[in-house]
Amino acid sequence: MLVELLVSTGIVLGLLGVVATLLDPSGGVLAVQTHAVDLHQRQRAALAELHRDLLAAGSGPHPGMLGTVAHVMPAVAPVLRGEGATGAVGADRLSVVYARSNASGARLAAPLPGAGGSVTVTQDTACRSVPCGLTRDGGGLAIVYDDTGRAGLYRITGRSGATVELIHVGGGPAGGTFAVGSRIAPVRVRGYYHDAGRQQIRVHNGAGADRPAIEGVARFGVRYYGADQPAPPPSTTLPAGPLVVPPGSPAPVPVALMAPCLAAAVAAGAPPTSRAAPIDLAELADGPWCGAGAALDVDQFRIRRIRVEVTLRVVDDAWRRAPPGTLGPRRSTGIRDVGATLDVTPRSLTSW
Amino acid sequence: MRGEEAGHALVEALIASAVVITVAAGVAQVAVMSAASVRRDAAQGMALFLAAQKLEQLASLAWTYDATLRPVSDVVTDLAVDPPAPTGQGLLPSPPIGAAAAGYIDYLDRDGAWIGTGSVPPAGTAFVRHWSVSPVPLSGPDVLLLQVAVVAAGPRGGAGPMAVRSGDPGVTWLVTVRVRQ
Repeated sequence: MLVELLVSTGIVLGLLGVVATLLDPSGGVLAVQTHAVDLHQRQRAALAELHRDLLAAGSGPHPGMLGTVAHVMPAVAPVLRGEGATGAVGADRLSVVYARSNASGARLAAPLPGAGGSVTVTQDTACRSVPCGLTRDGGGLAIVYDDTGRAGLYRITGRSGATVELIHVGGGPAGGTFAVGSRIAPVRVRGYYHDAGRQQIRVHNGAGADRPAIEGVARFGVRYYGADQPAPPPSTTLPAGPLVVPPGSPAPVPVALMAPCLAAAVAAGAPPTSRAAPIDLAELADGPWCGAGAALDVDQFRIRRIRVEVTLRVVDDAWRRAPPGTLGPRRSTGIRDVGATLDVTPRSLTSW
Repeated sequence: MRGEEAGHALVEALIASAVVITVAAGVAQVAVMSAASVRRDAAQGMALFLAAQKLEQLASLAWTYDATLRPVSDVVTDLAVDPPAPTGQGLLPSPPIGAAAAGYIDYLDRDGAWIGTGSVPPAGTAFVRHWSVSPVPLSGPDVLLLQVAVVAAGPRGGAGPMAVRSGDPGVTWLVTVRVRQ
């Protein structure tokens, strides 16, 4: 009996040892799947957020207002914009601006100094009631622009009834004054950039706030494609005033609202062809400029398609398979860095 | 101990061991299936992503009107190369997707990066992407039907462009309509 027990115990222990040896790598595979799923999930999340913002770039405000944001301010730029932005141009950053979807905008009832101040607004055709979405939500940014296409980006610092307090935060000239009747619309600004030290893509909201969007980012790069020459935006037959034209009034005349820098470039440059072309980063940062110190180049109006290239890695170095030719932790079950390329054509630019 | 009971402990131990091994093998199989599922999910996600990417590229080509309301159409941009070059046919009507026509097919690696075009997939092809542009019957000349199909090819690619059929479970197929505006 003792001999049998000893033999059987020995056999069982031996078999369990073999099984444990086989299961150890399998356990590694199980653990690695968790990290792999996390990596793919972060990849989806990163691209979904970017995709949503890029699709909306330049859109709005409400159709009742003349033109869109993209006609007076570049919808996409290789630079962060707004309060706290350095204005440095780079291939590892981009910013978009678009009108908030739940707000319609208004008109100035009093002149607004370029640097900002307190101003009263009135309803525009598409606004049901003051303040027409001009609140401090989501950073409280607004674009002010007039019939000449001159525009500026402002932050709403306070509001009382129909009076809003504004300070200029970029996106156009701070000098001069916006006349009575100029348009003001709430906008959202989103700037994405790569923080190589933290290995994050961070989001800047144009109002000084900054937060991480995606962790474990090994690389973030942006390329641009578009028209070969600056082109005028499509004209609109909407009247600048009420949507309903009284009987006997002259028919609305097609109007193309555009930034003065764009109008000058269109007048001075060769006619654009219909072909799509890559746009070098240098072309987007060599002038002519749209407003002093704004880092907004007139060639940014040529952008029609944006390509974002993201390379993600596992957050925990212990599970990373070192890229070929580099030194780093190596394990048979490690996870390689995963790249993804996102192409987006902002819908406000497809008919331009 | 009686003679007929001799060896029973050994037999029981062997049976128990067999049960343990069988269960362990089942667990290992689940791990393998899980890994395969993650890989398949990633490949499907990438295929969908790449199909949408080509639709975005097609959406960026000029299909609009100028200030005098004359149609403006891109009929020169070649989207089968990266970056795009003025050596193609833009939004001119193309052969159907199954024809694997030159200028309407490209090859991508496992990260979705463009690695070539033509009739032979280069080494490293993980996805083959086909697309077509065609008019929409009874909708006039300003409406286009854009279709993109992506087939996962495996890490070493294949001998030629893969056959693509609508409804094939291995094919990711996206369709949209573009109206001149």
